Amino acid sequence: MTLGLINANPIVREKKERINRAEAADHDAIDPLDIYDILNLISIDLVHIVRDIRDPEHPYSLEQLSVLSEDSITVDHNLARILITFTPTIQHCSMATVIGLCLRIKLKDCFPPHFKLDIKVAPGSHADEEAVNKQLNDKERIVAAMENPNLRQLVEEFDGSRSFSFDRNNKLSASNTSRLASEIGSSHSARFTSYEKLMRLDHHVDYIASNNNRSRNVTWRFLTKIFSLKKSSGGDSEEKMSVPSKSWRPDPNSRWPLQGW
Amino acid sequence: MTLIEEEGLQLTQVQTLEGHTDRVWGLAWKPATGTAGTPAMLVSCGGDKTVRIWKQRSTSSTSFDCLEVLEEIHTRTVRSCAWSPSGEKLATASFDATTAILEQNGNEFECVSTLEGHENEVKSVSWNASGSLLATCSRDKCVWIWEVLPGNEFDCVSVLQGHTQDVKMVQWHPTVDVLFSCSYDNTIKVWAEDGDSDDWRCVQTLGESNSGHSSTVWAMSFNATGDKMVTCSDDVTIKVWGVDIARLQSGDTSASWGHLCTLSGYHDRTIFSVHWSREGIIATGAADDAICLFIESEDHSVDGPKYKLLLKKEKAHDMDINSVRWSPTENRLLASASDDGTIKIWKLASMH
Repeated sequence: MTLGLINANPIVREKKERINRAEAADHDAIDPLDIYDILNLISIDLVHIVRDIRDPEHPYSLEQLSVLSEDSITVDHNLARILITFTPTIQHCSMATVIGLCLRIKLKDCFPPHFKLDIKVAPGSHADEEAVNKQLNDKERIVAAMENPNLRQLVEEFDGSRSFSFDRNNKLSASNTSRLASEIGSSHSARFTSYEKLMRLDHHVDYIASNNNRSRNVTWRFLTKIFSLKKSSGGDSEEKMSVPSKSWRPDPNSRWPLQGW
Repeated sequence: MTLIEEEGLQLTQVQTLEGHTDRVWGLAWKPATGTAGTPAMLVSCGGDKTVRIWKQRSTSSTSFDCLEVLEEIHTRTVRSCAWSPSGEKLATASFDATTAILEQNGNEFECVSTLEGHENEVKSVSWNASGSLLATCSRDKCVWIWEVLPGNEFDCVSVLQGHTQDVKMVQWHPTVDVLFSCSYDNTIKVWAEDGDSDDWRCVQTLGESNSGHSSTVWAMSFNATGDKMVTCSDDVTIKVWGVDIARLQSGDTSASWGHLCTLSGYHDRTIFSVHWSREGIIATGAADDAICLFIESEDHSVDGPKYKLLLKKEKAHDMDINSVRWSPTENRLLASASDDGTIKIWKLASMH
């Protein structure tokens, strides 16, 4: 799939100029342009990380499920607002809301807390666009969803290198495929491997080489923060909700289902 | 109706209450405090799963101290809190699907009852005017009505189904036992007891076809006399509704609410909270970090009362404002709660 490559070149060229402007600015202040650039880097990062992942058992890679385009990110510096749009290629409602939730959580630490973030599906890309956008931007629902232990585990393990798939019953599940595991070892090294892959691409090498160390370090610091370098462990969830079993209470898994938040 | 002297009115920050380690979702002033020699008390709740009680240092001071931090009450975000009309009991609603009833014992608060039944997050809790009934609502689309019995017993009287989505807030009418709920389904529903069968049912739905909101309705508030209601929404408008109060109070459950006025263009992001003071000032708090105050306009149109902006306090907080509440006793004292983890106390006064 060449969509990622088609996007990558224009983004990189623009970025070159932008970084040069930013160098002149005050290095201590948080430059919104840095944030913007980082967000664009994330979009390249995600696109490249997921592009190569294909597993015959799980036909849909994350890239095929959800694409961040070059128009994905709009930053209004004056109002401190950021709009991110993504295009789910698969028109499956629960998928879009879960992916949107993952994006929001991962991008949360990308910019100062007073920035307001809106995440939407690209216009016309989804049958229930309005409903999905509404859910993706209902702060209360998002907070409650993140307190759902099932959803939180899924979101925290989302690092762009996993493939999502639907089983026979159309239930969403994430998996580290056997091919992935053998190719990239632990997920810790996966992120470095992927970033190195980026570096190896010619245009990226030119881009990186043309910037000073400071820009690169800032960028790398942000990236490592976002894709937090802890091993994804299926087993431990930090807090166990000790729910006394009572007959009236429905099964915790169905009460707080993965897709219906 | 009080004539409001508008000249030079400003909203001045009196104090900032810090302590919460996550966003503050809700707050409530304790009834019958802040007057007649009793220091004012306030409860707040938030994403740090705590319920905090704040008390005015003395009746002459403007400072509040944190009296107590209640940590073991809930296992998830505490979304809403409400005092019973007498101030004896405190109800807290949480994302852990329970509603806790607390009582003050000396200087401590203890949980005397836990109401269970909702299938998932409880969003709001409200006591009726006499304190004999309690209502809760949840993402499970239901509204539960509980009867308050002696010995801290709470019996579920009715489970009201009707909303097609997440119910955001419930609020009892200030004078009659009529319940209002607002929801993610963009509607406001009015629930009353059917005189004959003692069954609670939905007697009216205020939706887009009745000039209602076009997105999630987050909150409602009534004026002192109960003949008007104000609602706020994700559609960034504020709407005022009216009813024939004589009919309502005579027990006519068919007394219907009609749209009076829509206020738009004052906030540009979701309006999370609205509260009508006894004096008639409407306060709103929104995700644009601003507080707006509205009063009735002297220009009465032929269609009914009109409202106008008294003032807009931009950047009242650093982040979204989740709740605004007027003090029930001290005139023109307003509290606001925010995502920035703070509660601010404001005084509306003329600078002359």
